[in-house]
Amino acid sequence: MFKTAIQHIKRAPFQALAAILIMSLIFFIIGSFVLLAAGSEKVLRYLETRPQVTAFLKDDIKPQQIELLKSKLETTGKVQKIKYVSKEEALAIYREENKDNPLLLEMVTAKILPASLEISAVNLSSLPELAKLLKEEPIVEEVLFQEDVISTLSSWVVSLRKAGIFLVLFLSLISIVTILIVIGMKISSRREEIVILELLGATKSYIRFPFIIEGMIYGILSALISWGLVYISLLYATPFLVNFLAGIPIFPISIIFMLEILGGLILLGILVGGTGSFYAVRRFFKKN
Amino acid sequence: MIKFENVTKKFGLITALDDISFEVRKGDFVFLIGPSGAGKTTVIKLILKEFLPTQGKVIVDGEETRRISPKKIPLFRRQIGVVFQDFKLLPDKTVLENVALPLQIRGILEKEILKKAEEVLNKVGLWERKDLFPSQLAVGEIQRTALARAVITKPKLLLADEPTGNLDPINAQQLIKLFKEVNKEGTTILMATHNAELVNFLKERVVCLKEGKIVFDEEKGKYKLD
Repeated sequence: MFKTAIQHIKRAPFQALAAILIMSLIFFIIGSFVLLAAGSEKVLRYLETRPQVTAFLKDDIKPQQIELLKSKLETTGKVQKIKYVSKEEALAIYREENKDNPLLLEMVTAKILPASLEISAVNLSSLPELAKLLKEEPIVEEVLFQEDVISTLSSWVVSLRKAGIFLVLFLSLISIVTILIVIGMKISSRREEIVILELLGATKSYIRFPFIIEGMIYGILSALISWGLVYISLLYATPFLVNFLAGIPIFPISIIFMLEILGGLILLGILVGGTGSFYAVRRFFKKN
Repeated sequence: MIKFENVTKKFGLITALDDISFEVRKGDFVFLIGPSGAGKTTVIKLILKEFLPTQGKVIVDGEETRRISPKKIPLFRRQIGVVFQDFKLLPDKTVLENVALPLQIRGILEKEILKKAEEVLNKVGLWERKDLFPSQLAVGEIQRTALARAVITKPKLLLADEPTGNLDPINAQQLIKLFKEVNKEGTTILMATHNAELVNFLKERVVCLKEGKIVFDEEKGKYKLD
């Protein structure tokens, strides 16, 4: 059956090529979108783990007061992590961030930098509440939190996921129709051959399977081509993306993840190719 | 082996067969003769269950074709070898691949297929030409390829629709000799033909059709249309 399917492809290579190229383009869009969605998800996860509320503390605070505030925050049950940053640590961070600008380093000492508490919330929705609680504390000088950035990004990721599912379904449908048309044309051009096979005692499945396998081969080849293109594009865009996402450790993308995408595309290819050709063959037998 | 009981076949207003009855016994060699449009091909197509009779019964090897379910048609057809009027060879398959096709359909192993194909192609004198495509063969060779494909499975019944059409007398004689050999091995043969010379030469049973009716049915008959 596999041999017959290969023979079918060899006999009409341009039809096969057209189907493979169209499907490769579609799978390339799907593959790129999956990468984009996964990347956004990773950026969001990263930002969620960063301190979302920073409370700068007044000078000359006693350690007991800080511990008291920490335990007060923990009892709310809305805090995932609290980190105390002392004046010395703040200076170290400042120095690291401005190491290329000696003029800025000269003027700053630990004394003028405030100590702070960096807080991550379990849920982003509780950020305003935590910020309010901190503002009311007498030992807190100032409160900073990035509610807008994270919630906007979060809603983007949700929309991206929804759009992605719709896009994958819609593009898969286009692939199925493409296969249905190409395999349908091939079946029609071999109508006489099918009639001969039937007269010689071939079962419907004997006639059907090579066409279904042919559709699956188109799917697999398209998946391989599109994955290769996605990977090459990703490698090409990596320097730009690393700059663009400065500080967010997404790159390098793990090869395991890329292989997972390849597996997914091959599976989709088999499914789409098999379904398209199955319906093409079924349509032929219904008509005849 | 074959039994037609009061068979009528109509295509719209045209009556192709009109209440015919005849029987072909196991091991028989029967010629079906008659002018064009007499209904010879319709008889063959009814036996193959390409379609059903409008009235009457067609019984092949004890099974009435009307009672064979669509799923069982492939198995039913595998018992019958056919040499078609237009050969029906696959143009993009070689002689060997065409001849091997009925065995491939049955799921026989490649090694076994090759052995049987070699045997049958040697018998019809085409082993040397096994790698050629039908378009590269002479008409006589195409007809022998079609015969080889029909008999490779050693069918119980062999149907032949004008197998010697377009053949010169020498090639036709050679082909008929091959049919006789197959018949001697126990295969029942029903051959529709126009070839008077061969019918008269072989002196087998002759069933003559005219305008859808059996005009005569004679043992050791001759080719005559009246």
